[in-house]
Amino acid sequence: MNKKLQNVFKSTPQRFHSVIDSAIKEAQQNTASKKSKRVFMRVVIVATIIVLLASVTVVGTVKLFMVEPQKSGDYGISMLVSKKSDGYEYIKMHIEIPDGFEEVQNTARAKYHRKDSGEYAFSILPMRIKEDTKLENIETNVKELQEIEIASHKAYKIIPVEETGILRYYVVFENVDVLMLIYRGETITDAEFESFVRGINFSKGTKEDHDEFYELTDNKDDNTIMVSDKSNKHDYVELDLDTEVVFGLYSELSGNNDLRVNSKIKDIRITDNINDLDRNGINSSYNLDEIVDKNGKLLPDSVKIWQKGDGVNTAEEVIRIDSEEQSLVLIDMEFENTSDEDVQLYIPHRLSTLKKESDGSFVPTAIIDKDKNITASAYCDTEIFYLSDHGESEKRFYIPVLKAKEKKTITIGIRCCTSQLSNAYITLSGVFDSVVSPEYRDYSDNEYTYYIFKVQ
Amino acid sequence: MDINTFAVLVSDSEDTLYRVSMSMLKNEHDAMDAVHNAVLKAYENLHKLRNDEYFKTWLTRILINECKLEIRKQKRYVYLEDDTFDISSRDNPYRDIEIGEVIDGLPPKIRLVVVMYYVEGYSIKDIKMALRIPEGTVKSRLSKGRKILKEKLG
Repeated sequence: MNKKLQNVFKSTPQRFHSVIDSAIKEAQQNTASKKSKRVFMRVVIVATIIVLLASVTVVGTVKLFMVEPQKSGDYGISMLVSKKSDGYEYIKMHIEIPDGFEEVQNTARAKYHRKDSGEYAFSILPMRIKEDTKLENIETNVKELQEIEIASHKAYKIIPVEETGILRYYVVFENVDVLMLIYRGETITDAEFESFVRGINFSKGTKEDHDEFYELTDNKDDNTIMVSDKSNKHDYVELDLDTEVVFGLYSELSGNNDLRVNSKIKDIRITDNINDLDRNGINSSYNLDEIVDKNGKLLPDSVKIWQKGDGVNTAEEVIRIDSEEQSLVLIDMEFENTSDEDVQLYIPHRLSTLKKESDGSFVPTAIIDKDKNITASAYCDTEIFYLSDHGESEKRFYIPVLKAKEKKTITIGIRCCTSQLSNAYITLSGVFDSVVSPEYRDYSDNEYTYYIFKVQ
Repeated sequence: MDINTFAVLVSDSEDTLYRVSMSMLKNEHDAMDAVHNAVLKAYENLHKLRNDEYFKTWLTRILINECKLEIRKQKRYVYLEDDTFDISSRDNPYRDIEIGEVIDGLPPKIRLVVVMYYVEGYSIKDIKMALRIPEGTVKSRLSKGRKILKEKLG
């Protein structure tokens, strides 16, 4: 059967190679703006609704786009097909690409570059925001907004706190209540930018237009066309603090399937001062000036409380910001490599704050009111703050290679809101390095077991 | 890892990306989107890859997640392509239509494991890591797949 199956697939088509080449080039182009883009995705949670654009047809140099509902994170939704009392609203976007530019092919987003040089030119992100949303809060790295006019549209130039080389603008398309975030490449002149914006137009669409492409499913319970990202269910299994967890690892070098690392929590301490810690073990991504005072005491941090929007007519918004005292949970974890080979172990330990329901299940405390869709930002950091012993590379924060048969105790420090310590659990998932003991439960590809250990 | 090394490693994985995405999505347009997004995500998250030796498995895992997102999206929207897809169409990735039909007929989870193991030559451990499922589950899916294939292919 092996031979029958090994050659069952055709050769990879050339068009596929082109897609991969294009993605690599795009990755290359994005390198400069990578940081700001990553941050952007986080900020989208704040107030906006985003869309993914899919090209439909080309008429001369006019490109018609159909806007397709698309999730982003756990809240993302399209608003261009928006739910109104009388049904969905269909809007089409037309872009006339100026001479000398073309769309970057095979990208999920609408991006354009110079035809001759391939230099990055523009990308666009249409959104509809709630009326009282402050534009300054949508993107990060915003010092101020400068009101301008572009191609007869009211617009705002984003003046950044830190220059990144790519200019950003909000352009208002009032007739369809669309706010367009436009990125502009470094080499684009004012005239070229004006011409590009002038080529963006919206018109009313029809259901028939949309049906050319797809139909919305008839789901009356879900008429906001919101797509939840939380299909990954987590099953929390509480373990005693002294439970030994065994990781099963595989060596690509030797092919050995049976590498094993045992781990056990030896001690948990809580402090609000970092003076006793070895500064070399502090994660350099933290700016200490912002999180500790001059005496090394952790400063309070803010926790935002969100009211989720319905994704169509209402946006997400911060309804409260709480100031929370911070503590550092220090976990002494003993790792023992029982194999005859050196191994690397990803740090699968994190802190979560959970409350136990009457049926014994666990729910994150950040879900403040499920019915009203009120949630808090994380009470414990998702980054590890401190590792007493970590990898040689400064850019990577991980447990160093465990030598064959080596036993080592490593202190892992994670920052958490003091008020939530009684709900804090060390969580351990089977991500990448699988847990072989206690027995790992399989539900499906998208459902994971989390082993949890109570901090207090 | 710099962009050039990344490009080389991705190029080395092209065939795997094609076959894995096509076996999951059965539609070249969607498969290309998934591969494109996976490559971009991989580059953005390179700093999270702690061991370059695992690059291909890691990239495949990202691709599988992208394909799952695509499948979830498809569940919400009825694509015209669903009605028109035909094993003999351009989107058919198989040389042998008969075997292709049998593979396509496998339940999705079993199909993916079968393709990764028999076609891509991944070890059970690799599949376990890429799919984040226990080794026993990989084996049982392979076993079920083998049984179905044997019944249909002889």
